Amino acid sequence: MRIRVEYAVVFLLSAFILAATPVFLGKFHLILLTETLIWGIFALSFDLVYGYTGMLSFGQSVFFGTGAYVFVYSFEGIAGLVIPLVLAALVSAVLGSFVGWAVVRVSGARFFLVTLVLAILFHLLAIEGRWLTGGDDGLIVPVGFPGLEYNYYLVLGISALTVMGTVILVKSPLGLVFKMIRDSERRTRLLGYSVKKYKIIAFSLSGLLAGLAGGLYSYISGFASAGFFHWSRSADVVIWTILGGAGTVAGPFIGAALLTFVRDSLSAITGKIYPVLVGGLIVFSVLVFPRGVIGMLGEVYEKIKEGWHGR
Amino acid sequence: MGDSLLSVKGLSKEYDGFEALRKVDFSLESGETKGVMGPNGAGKSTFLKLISGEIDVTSGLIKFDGRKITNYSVERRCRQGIAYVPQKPSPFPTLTVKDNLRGGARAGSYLPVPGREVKLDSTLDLVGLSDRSEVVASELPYGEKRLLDLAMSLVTRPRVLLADEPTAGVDNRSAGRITDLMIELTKSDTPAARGVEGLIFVEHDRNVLFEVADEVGFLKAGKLLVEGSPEKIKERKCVKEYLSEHGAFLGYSRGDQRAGID
Repeated sequence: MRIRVEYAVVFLLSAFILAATPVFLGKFHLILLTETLIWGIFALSFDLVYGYTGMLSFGQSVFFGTGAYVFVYSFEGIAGLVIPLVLAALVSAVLGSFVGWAVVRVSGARFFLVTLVLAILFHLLAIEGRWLTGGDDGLIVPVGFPGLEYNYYLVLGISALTVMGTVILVKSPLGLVFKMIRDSERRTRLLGYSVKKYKIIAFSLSGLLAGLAGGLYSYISGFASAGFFHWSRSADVVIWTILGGAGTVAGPFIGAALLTFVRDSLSAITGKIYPVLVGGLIVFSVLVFPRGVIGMLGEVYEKIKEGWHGR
Repeated sequence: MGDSLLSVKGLSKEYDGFEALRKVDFSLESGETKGVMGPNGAGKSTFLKLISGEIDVTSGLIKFDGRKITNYSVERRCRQGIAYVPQKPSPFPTLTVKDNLRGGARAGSYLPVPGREVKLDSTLDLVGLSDRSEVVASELPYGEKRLLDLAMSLVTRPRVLLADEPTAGVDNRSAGRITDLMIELTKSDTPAARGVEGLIFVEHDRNVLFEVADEVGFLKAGKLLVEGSPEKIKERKCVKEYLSEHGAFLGYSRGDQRAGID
């Protein structure tokens, strides 16, 4: 496995900057940054099925919500943070493989619709099942309060592990098969691979990451509600990933960070019309940078490198 | 017939009432190369797709190495040793040449295979793409895409290779290379030997067809009219007629797509 030196440098540099950040940030922005990292993990779960395997899933909120509730319930029963988080990820991974098994029969627009309907269905079930989920009011997690910085470094550490794990995955033989399926299902089949099987694996891994994000989010926010299942959360990860750059590991994080901070600063300046501005900005960026922020940065970098060697 | 490497009996395919293939009997022995020719829409591509498993038969039987494989999926047939090179070049566009090959080499075994990289390199060498290994496949010229396609199918270690018009639309240099490869593939004492025991290919270019094939089958309107050595088959009336008409037409065929396959 080869990793380009540039990527390693960027990774270490951003890890360093992120690790030093709490010193400069106020409480509010530290919470925002912590959330952003979780959104990044969540968006990465979508990127795995879309950017790497070519399936436009609108059902990621199903795994996010499930992870959140598994965390809530296991946190009450089990002491410690690690086991509930692992459980949140694992249960969502299992659910992911079931969902994958059900949805890989269809593709294209039908696939999109089936996953969207699934997200809506889970949301409705979560609202109706108040005895289990607490409905829209949700359930409180008695997390105590270990401190904002503690939470931030916890999430940062998990994010770094997630990024490294995902890089290893997409560079592995398994990741190669995902990319083959994205490029051409037909040719993948002709080379002897069971496309369905690999799609289910991709879904399961995607569920794992989304569930982890859900668990982390309910931990730092101290609650989980039926709204976690809402399909608009699925839409968020689609937008973040495409904006940041699908089919890259950094893209989802960049997209999530960009929109979170743009939303935050625009809402402070412009008040109520900020959603319109944010929407306009998204449309503009997708039109101008079809390959996302990462794609644009990559092109700029290549140009600089060419210019450098050309001298 | 029971001992053939590959045999089909009464193979038929119908698309919405259109009979693309009608009761074809055919067999391929170990070490044999068979070419299939015929006018546009005769069912040549359908024939290969049925054997590869890409489309399901309407009726008939396909046997490979003594086993009935009629109901096997396309991926299972590949793992059994039947590789199919489609008519349109189809490497994975965003992957490098080397990764395209790696993808093929892993079929059937998901564990690291010792010496695989060496094998990949020698296969790249064989098709003349060694200096292209880090190029993204979508940037290759047409002819090299087809060479890569062939290489990808070869690294799945097939016993039977099916190739649909491997030289159509390809520049002369690449076409020459593909032709040489097809001749050498099934001979065990050549550098091209990859354990391929049999080759079936569809070809419009009669020079390539008669140079490469041990035996040629002539398909027309879904029926296998005649079969035999190139010398013999050239003397048959229906083939003569076809060849004299076909002489004026050397362009790239689109006829097989009419059957609604692609």
